[in-house]
Amino acid sequence: MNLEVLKRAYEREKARRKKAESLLEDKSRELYLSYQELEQSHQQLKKTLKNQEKQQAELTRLISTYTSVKDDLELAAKLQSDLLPDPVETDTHAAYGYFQPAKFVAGDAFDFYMLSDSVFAFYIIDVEGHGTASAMTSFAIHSQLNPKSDGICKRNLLKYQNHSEAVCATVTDLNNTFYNPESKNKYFTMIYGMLDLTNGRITWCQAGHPALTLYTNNKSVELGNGGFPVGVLNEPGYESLQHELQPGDRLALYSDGITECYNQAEGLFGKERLDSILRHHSSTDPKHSIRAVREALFTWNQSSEFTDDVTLLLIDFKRFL
Amino acid sequence: MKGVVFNYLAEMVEEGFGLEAWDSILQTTGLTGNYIASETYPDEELMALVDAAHDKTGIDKRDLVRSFGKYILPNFREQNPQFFEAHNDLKSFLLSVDQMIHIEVRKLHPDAALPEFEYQDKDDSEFTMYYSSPRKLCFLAEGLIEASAEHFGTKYELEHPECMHDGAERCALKIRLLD
Ligand code: HEM
Repeated sequence: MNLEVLKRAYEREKARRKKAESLLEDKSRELYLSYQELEQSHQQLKKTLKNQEKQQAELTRLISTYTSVKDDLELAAKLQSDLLPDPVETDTHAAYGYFQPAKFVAGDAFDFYMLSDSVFAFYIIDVEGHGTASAMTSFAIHSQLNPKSDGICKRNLLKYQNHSEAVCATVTDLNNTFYNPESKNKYFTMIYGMLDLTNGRITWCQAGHPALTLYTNNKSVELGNGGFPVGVLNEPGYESLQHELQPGDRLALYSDGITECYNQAEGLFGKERLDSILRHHSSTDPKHSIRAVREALFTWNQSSEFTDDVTLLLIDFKRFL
Repeated sequence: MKGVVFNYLAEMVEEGFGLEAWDSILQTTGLTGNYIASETYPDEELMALVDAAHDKTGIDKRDLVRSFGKYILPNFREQNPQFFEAHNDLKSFLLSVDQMIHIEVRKLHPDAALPEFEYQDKDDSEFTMYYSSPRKLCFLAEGLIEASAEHFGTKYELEHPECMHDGAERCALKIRLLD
């Protein structure tokens, strides 16, 4: 056989082998690179997965925090409404309250109680803002003014016979407690008053709160005005006011959540509207008056959620003790 | 065309006519002959090699290509016995070429140069495979069919009444099975 032919066949085989080897190398490199890519995306995937797990855990934590906060708020709201006094109806006097918190818990509060056999005390407060922080303040005030706990009310009860001195001292003491120029304490408006059932004399101190309104013979008159809110000034110099009630007279105390209730089309509910409803119902049962105000207010608000707390307190003086 | 096809051609020529024959065919075409099985080469190279083989041996080109088909099939069978094991008879095997075998081939080699077959049944013993491909390797198909028939021990007659080489759009390979 021709040697040249064999040589060429050999060269062909050699060339094919070399080509095959380099192809194999290329393929191995490709394989290696795609392995690396795979490894990278695997790592990336692992990271993403971990992040997702973290986010999931965070979410679970947030949900449980939210749930416990919500539970706390609901509990606080329950406590707060438990603190409100039951209506009072005696031969000499009657007292009814209406309370509608803006959120779960409110900054508004009121209370009334007998300080002695013949002295009926009452107050209404409106802590700036509403929500949890305001509610905490109103809780604190409530315990200070509870005659059964060792607070301002009990101390002054022992200290003062004179009602004027007593109401002024009580509000001033609250101011001393809550005024703190260093910290951003919540301030509040209030009326603290006492009704002497033997002679019908009311003595009260007004601290920036809407004035007490007297309903007598289907007429209304605002008693007093002004005073600084509690917790704003170091020495606001509170003064007391007095008025002699006649049997059949009614006192109304309210928070600005009523008068400032806003309706898109017609604006604020206003003092006049409240006054005219109360005047219209002034000789009926206080329960009816409250229901009338509540209905008018819900209609005005156009929703069952209020932007501010709503409080109304009606006190009837029926006869001398 | 895949390098594997060129290598089978080289093998067939070398086995049948000797190393020198293949060497001289390469010399006349000026091709290197360094084909790698998995690589793809221009279809024209195969045609040029077939032309040169015809010149060298004086064998009719159709016969050459037909023998090439006969030569390739046992090799295909060795590489992919499963395609044969799945069938008991020639007809069902041939029906699977387009629907199954070449589909699997395409999965491994996306750039494989494969023909298209359409089938038409006349009756139980007669059917037609319509072949179409830009490479016009219908005689390769004839050879592949012949070797397949041998594998299944089937006697048959084949007619090729329409042919792309005669200007038809596709080739008709009419197969009549003889008991
Ligand atoms: C296990 C069986 C089979 C396998 C694995 C197989 C695989 C292949 C492969 C790899 C090619 C070459 C593709 C390229 O080079 O790019 C090819 C081409 C071809 N096959 Fe098959 N095949 C098989 C059976 C058959 C049968 C039985 C027929 C005939 C009925 C057939 C007809 C053809 C034809 C005619 C070509 C040439 C390309 C063309 O005409 O365009 N094959 N086949």
